[in-house]
Amino acid sequence: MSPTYVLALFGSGIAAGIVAALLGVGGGILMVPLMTMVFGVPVHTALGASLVAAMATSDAACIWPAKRRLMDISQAWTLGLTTTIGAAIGAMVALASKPEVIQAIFAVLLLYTAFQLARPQRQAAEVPDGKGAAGASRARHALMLLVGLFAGASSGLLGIGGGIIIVPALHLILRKPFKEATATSNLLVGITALTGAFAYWWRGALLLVPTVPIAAGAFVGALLGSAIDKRLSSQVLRWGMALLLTFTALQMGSAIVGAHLGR
Amino acid sequence: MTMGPSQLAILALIATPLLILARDAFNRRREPRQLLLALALLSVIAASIALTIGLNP
Repeated sequence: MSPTYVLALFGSGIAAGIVAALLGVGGGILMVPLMTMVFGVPVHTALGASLVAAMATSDAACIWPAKRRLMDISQAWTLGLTTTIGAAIGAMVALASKPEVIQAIFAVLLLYTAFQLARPQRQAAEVPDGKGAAGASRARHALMLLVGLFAGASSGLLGIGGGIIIVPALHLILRKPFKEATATSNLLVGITALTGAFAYWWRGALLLVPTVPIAAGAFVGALLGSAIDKRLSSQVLRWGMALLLTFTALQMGSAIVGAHLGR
Repeated sequence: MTMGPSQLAILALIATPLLILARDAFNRRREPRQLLLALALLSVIAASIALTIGLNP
């Protein structure tokens, strides 16, 4: 394991952490393809390392005062009840699945995320803000718990934090202001990723390299990203990310098809 | 399973959200409902971990 390889992983973690903080996601959506396609890390190892990196991103958000004040801790804990169960189930399914199956699901997820990023964003004002948890009905809370279960399963299965599902759901279902939804999701990502990461660790899929360099990089990157003005998260950044994710999804898809035809 | 120092280091990293949970619970120790919620979450995490170990001995 050369120092250059470790440094490159650390640098990639920083880049993914910055983007994760700017877009309000855990960063797994970038880290998994990066590790598997650029660094040649086996899929299950990459999924586990990405979950640990998502926790590092969450930790960084939790120590950043401005984000900390926006977090709805009770909401994160309540949702954690279902995301945790979902993550454990998702991780066990992933560990029992073929890597190509996971890559195919991941490619679809990348395309979905790219579409979400590219389409015009709904302004927070379109959804009544300020009502908070008190204004949300029991049915909305029940639906949110179900979404949490799905987000947790996606997290464990695909090595993502689940922010790409949780943030829009908090905003649209519970009518949380977008910034509060992002901050609450940041806290929830750490709780969700915990059981999934443990499952990978228990099965021996987590290795010191790439886990520690990518997680340390993600922590530093998330701190940097939190310090950068949120205005940098412009439509240009969203379009750039959408293009990058589409390209990665197509690369992943062609690699799966190539491997299948080569048999 | 046998655990080397590297595996223990990764386990320590995995446990960090528990520290944040403990800190938040401590800060809300005067709110019984919040404490109960934190305990429920901790129980679910423990149950999920037990399930993982039980299904993958």
